[in-house]
This record gives sequence, C-alpha cells and structure tokens, in this order.
Amino acid sequence: MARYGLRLLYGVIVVWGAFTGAFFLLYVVPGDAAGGLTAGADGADVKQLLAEQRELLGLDRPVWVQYWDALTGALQGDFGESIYQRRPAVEVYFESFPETLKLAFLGLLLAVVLGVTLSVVIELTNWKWARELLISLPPVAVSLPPFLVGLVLLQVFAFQLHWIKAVNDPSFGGLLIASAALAVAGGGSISQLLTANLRGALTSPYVETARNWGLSRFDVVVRHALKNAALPVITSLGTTVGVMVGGTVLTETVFSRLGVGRLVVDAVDGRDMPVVLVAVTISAVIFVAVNLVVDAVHPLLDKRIQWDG
Amino acid sequence: MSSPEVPSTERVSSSAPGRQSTPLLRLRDVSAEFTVPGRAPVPVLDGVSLDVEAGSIRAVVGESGSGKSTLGRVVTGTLPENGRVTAGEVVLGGRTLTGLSERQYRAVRGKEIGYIPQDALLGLNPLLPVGVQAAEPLRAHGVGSRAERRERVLDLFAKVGLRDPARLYGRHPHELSGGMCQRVLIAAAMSTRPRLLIADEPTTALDVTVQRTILDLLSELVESEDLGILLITHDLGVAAERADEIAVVKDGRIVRGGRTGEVIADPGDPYTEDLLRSSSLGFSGRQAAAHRLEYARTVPADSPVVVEAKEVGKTFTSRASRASRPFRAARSGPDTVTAVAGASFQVRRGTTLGIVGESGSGKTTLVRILAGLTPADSGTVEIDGEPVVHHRRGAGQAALYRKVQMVYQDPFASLNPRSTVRAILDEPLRGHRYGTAQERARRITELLEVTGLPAELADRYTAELSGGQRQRVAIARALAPRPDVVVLDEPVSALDVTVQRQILALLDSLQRELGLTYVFISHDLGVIAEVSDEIVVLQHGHIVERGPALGILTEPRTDYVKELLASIPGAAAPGPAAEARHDAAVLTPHDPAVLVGPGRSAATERTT
Repeated sequence: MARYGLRLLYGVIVVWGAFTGAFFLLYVVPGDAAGGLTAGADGADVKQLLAEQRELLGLDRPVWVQYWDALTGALQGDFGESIYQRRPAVEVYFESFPETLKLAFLGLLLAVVLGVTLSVVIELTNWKWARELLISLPPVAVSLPPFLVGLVLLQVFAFQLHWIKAVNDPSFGGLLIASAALAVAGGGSISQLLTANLRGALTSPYVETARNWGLSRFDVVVRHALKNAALPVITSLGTTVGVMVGGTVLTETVFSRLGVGRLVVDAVDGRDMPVVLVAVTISAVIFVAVNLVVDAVHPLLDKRIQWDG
Repeated sequence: MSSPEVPSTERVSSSAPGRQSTPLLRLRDVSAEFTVPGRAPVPVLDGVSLDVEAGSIRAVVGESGSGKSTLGRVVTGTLPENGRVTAGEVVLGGRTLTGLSERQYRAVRGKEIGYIPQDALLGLNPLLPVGVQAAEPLRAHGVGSRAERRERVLDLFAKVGLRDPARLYGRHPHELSGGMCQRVLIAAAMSTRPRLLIADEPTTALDVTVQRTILDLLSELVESEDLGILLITHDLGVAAERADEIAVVKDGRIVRGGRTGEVIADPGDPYTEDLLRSSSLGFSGRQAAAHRLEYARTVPADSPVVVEAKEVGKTFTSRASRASRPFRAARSGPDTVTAVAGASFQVRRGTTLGIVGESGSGKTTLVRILAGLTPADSGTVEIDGEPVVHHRRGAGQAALYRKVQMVYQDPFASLNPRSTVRAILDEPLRGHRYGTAQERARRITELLEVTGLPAELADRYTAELSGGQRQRVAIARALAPRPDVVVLDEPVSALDVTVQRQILALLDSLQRELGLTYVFISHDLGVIAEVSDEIVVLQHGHIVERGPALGILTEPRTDYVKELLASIPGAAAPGPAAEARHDAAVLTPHDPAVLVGPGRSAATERTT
C-alpha cells in the first residue's frame, strides 16, 4: 500500500506539472486576453484601452503573483471567471464535459473492441494472404490522423449516405461515428501491441499444453493466450486515454460538436487562461486517475503481481 | 530406409508375450522434415519405426537436436507450421493418425493421447486456477457438466497424490511447487482416460527427489490404467530405470532399440555406448570419489586455505502471499525466508568444494555472497585472507573481483548474443586494465587455446556457437583476469550429457594445469561426486553434511543425503562402472576441442 501512496504522490506532481506548464506556455505565447477583448477596437485610444483591460484582468501584475493566485485558487476549486463568458470557468467547462466524456468513452470502448477483435481474427486466419493483409492494418490505422479519418467518415455518412447531420448531430448515430473517428488510431495501437504479444504468448509452453489437450484454435487463442497477452495492453490503456483526450479536440472540431475540445481550442485562441487551466487540470487528473486504476486492476488479473511489490 | 541396427517390429512385439498382437501405438518408417525458406528441406526424422504396447513404457532417448521431440509431435500432430511428415504412418489402436485433418486430430488430442510437457511450471497458464486448467481436456471434448468435471478433477488430484484437492483447485500455478504442477498436468492428461501418454522430458526441470516421485507415479499409472507411455528423455538413466523398451535416436534415426535390459547389456552401437558412459547408470559414489582421490593426492596437504566462510547467514523478507509457496526454504518468521544459515567451510588451493542442494536450498545465495555480489546478514567470508565486503557499487572490490570469477548455468543467457567471442573475452581484460591492445589480443588467443576453442572462433557471434562452445567461452571469460577461485554455478546443467563430459574434463585439466580452486555448485550429486574433493550438502539453507567426498558418498549420515543418492536415476540399475566412463571421457575426443588433457600441456603452460 505504501507504494500505492507513492504513486498517488507522483500523480499529484503530474497534475501540478500540467497546470504549471499550461500556465507558462500560455503566458509566453504572444498576446493576452486583453488583446482578445479589445480586438477590432480602433482609434488613438486603443493602447489605453488595452492597458485598462489589463489592469482590470490583473494581467499587469508580475507573472509570479498571477501564477500564485491561479494556483492557490485552483487548489480551492476556484479557477476564476472565464474572461469572455463572465462565468466561473469550472461551470463553463462542466457544461460541455458530458458530451466529450461520452465521445471519449465510446471511442475508447470502440478502440478496445476493434483492436482486440482484429488481433484475434489475425491469429485465427488461416489464409496467408488474408493474414498478411490484416496484419498490415494496425500500423496504417495508427498513422492515420484523426481529423482525416473524421473527414472521410463525415463525407461518407453525412454527405453520401445522409445517415447523420454534418454539423453537431445530437443522435446516437452521430456520436457513434464521431467516436469511430477517434477509435481508429487507438484501436490500431491496441491491436499492434496485442498482436505482437499474442504471437509471443502463442509460443509459450502452456499454449502447447492447451493445444495438446485438444482445444480448438479459438479456445487456445481466446481462453489461454489472450488474457496473458492483454496484460501489457491494459497498461498501455493509460496512454491510450491520453491520446483520446487529445483526439477529442480534433474530432469535435471536424464534426462541429460542442464539447471540451472545441471549448479549449477557443479558449487558447482567446488566451482565456482560467478555462484553459481548468481543461488542462481536469485532463491531467483523468489521465492520472486512469493510470492509477490500471495499476490497481493489474494484480487482480495477474495473481503473481503483489500490491507491495 | 531402416538401417540394419533398427530392431525389426517382430523383435519388439514378440518380446511382449501374452499381450494383444497389435500394439497400442505403431510408427512405421516415419520421416519428417522442416522447410526453411530459401533452403533445402531439413530432414529431422528418417524412417523411424517403433511400437508402444499398452501397459508399458517406451523410452525415446537422444540429445538435443536428435529429433526425439519431433517424434512426439508427429504422434500428437502438433508439428510446427514449417514441419511435415513426408513418409510412413502412425497408427493408434487401429486408427491411422497420419493424414488426419486438424479438426479430426483435435478429437484425438487430449482424448486418446494425453500429453505431459517438459517444464511443469511453464506448462501451465499462469493466469488460470490449476483446477480449471486440469478440467480443460474434459471441457474441450465435451465430457460432463461443469460440476461433473470439477468432481472428476478433484478425484484425479487425490489420485495423483495432491493433498487437499478442494483447496488446491482454485490455486494458481505460481503458488505450487514444480512437482505439484507436474502432478496437476498428469491429472489433466489422465482426465479423459487416454490410452497413450506422451511425456516429453517430464522430469527434467524437477529436483531429483521430486523427479523420482513423479516417475513413480507414472509407473503406477501404467500398471493401474494399462496405459502406454512414450517417454521422451535425454537421460538414459531415467529410461533404463523406468522403460520396458528403449529406442536411442540420433540424427532422426533409431540407432539402437529393443528391450531395456538388452540395450543396456549390449549397446552394440558407438553412440549408445557413449550415452551409456555419460549416464549415471550403475553410479557408485565410491568409484567416482576414489577416482577423484587420485588427483587429490597430488595437492599438498598443507595447501593454503583460499576461501573461508564463517557462520555465513542470509535472510530474505518475503511478500505475504509468497509465504504460501510450499517449496521455499524454511521460514524463520512470518515474513522472512532463511536462505543460508550458519554456513562455515574452507577450501584449500587447488581443490574443489562441491556444494549440492535442491532448488531453494540456498546454494546460489551462498555463492553470490562468496563472490561479493550479495551482502551477508551475518558471518564473514575471506578470500586469500582478505574479507569479502559487499559494496553496492563494487568500489574497492577490483582485487576481489579479479580473484573470484564466475561461470553460470545457462551459456545461452550468460553471453550476449550480439557480441563476438573476442569482445566478450576482451571485456574483463579491459575492466581489470590488462596491458595494451596487443597484449590483450595475445591473451585472448591464449584463452581460446586453453579452453580448446579454435582460434577462428574469436570473431564469431556467440549466437552462432553450440551450447558446449558457449560454455567454453564462459570459462575462458572467467579465466581471463587470472583468478584464484572460480565459482561454477551449475556449469553443466544446461548441456547434453556427452557435452557435459567434455566440459567436466576441460575443468579438470584446467585445474591441474593452472592450480585453480573451484567452488562447484550443482543439484546433481552424480556430477558433484565426480569433481569434488570436499562436499557440502545444503538443505533449506542449512548445511546438513560436510566433509571429504568419499566419506559423504559412501557413508552418508543423514537420510537426506541417502535419499539424494538413491534418487540418481539409474544408479541402482546395472551399468558400466563410474571409473570406466570417467577414463573414457578424458580419452575419447568427441569433438577435437576436448583435447586439453595433460598431453597438451605445452599450450597451457604459457598462460600460467
């Protein structure tokens, strides 16, 4: 359990690092929220207007003071008000959060289902050419950028088949196709890892034993090899979740879905520091939490691994 | 295809009178080959004919690469994708197996043919409870309901000698000892009441005392179930002790076959004779030790003590659930395991101390402490009168590390496959700052010469070498910095018996030439008997016996050592005297590399 406590500490450090990184990254990028607010203003007093806004937003203070304010606020759950919407940033964020959660969760689920199915099918395929073809799929899937997959899916399902609306389709079908765009890369990387592991597991002596017990190829692969091969994949899911979080930004933009991804893009554009910090912090927390859960689940699946090891 | 030495079928079946005329398993002129892309097919079996009678054990004996495992795979229809049977037929109880489709074969596998794999610990799925696994053959063949299958497995667990089957059912393989895992696998194989059992080196990975109990169990099953067993083994001792009939395989051919007694009494074939000499058949501790004693007389009695251990102790804290592992060393507390306790001994210059013990006896921990690789909790070790102090980073230990060198068990794991032999031998030389590049190159040539390796091997990668050659490289590496003490951790356990002979002969001649002191660890009392002047017997971390080799081998004081002696496979069977085979090992050059005997001392003198 002591080790798990240490992991928790590392998790806290990761979240703090993400928060700090995002703050200073946004700070060093040219331009600030005052510029965003006064965009389009004209005339001789633009400079003065800008200075007034800066003072109002507290952007004229030394960077360390701003950072300290943001950090202490965040620790109390108060990230400040969104500069454009004049509402607490947390509130703004959690408005769009459920949409994105649905998208990412379904994307992850699809990725796992697609990846695992593909790997098992590869192992069960007897025809050499079909097998070679299938094996080449995961690397291709990994290399396809999500926005490209999204655009192709949009072209096919919205413009050709008219199954979904091209802009922000609220139906389950719309959600499903958007999450499919997200799932392709994740599924590819799961399948890549799983196929390699399955190949290894299938040469193990216990697989030889199972085969000699008269088990079918399917039973050998699914009952005996798959679970062993899946252990490293479960570890990698932690990273896949990170990829998903990043992927939602692109997917939501392509499918014009109003989610956290879109919110963050707009917030970064307008240098809306509070909103950006909420989004980054929550993403980091999710990332850390998923990895902690993966760690906790591992010993349940593999009895050889101990808590305090 | 069969050569004149191959026994005719009549001879085999006629020797089992009173049984049905058709044998349980019949192989006729079976040939098999492996295809490698871009090369000519490699034949692995060449016209093999043999029978297995119901109620008998037929042993197939051969060294690695002889094709003996392929023979088993031909019967179970599990050749790898690039392998195929090119000729002959396999008939099981009147049904021809060759040519069956994979689907048809599945109905035979696990149903009519049971299979016991080599390494029991690896042969079970680490993630599934052993009970569930033992029921897999029944499930695969659709026998009974889930509850019935469970009942049957529990019955079988009791039958194969597993205590408390109900509790064991839900256990995972890592919680069981190797012997228990092997019993689970035997239960699984027996669950569908097969008529034939294929046992591929079923006891190789087990301790000798456990090996004996497992072989006893198999013999019992043959009697009670009228089972036929095809026993594949590299150990002629095991075969001679257990099998009714033996077939010796070399290069895919049966070079000698027949009733066990006949084969042992009259090998009639040079390879079989070789195997016989290398086996523990007719092992006699007195003879092995007496032979060694001749050498010991040449070592002066006042030879200085090089290694001295005083009351060395080491305890490991174990994880909570690890404590449930039944085969680990004695527990001294709820969470600690005593690896070594109060070990004291001395080794004189030029002599060999043999440390013998089964897995978990603490022998590896003990030598790691000797070499300064693991800190001891209590006691001291002195090498040449200087205390061995364990430093985390090895600082200040350069002198010790030069004086004590190690040779490990598995030459496949202990040599980097991506290094050349030269690079491997150069590393310790550079590490100990041995002269200029030129001097090091000369030293490497010397090392190859003393270890009987051809000079052109220097620029080969170790991956290209055979097991025996690799172990020679490992020995050369250990000798590179001119050590006083060489610690040999199971140096021949991973090698074929005939190669074992050669390596032991090499170690023997090196000791004579260079006056080396050996600490030799092995689980195999037969090997220890042959190389040791003094023997230390470890059990659960404690020294149970210690003394001159002859005394321990001829008059063991403890039951444990008696049991170890009795467990040497084939020791009770009649066979060539140990002395005879020892001489043969030194004198017969199986490969030219072995000739580093006294006759070649000119080459070795330069290195001393």
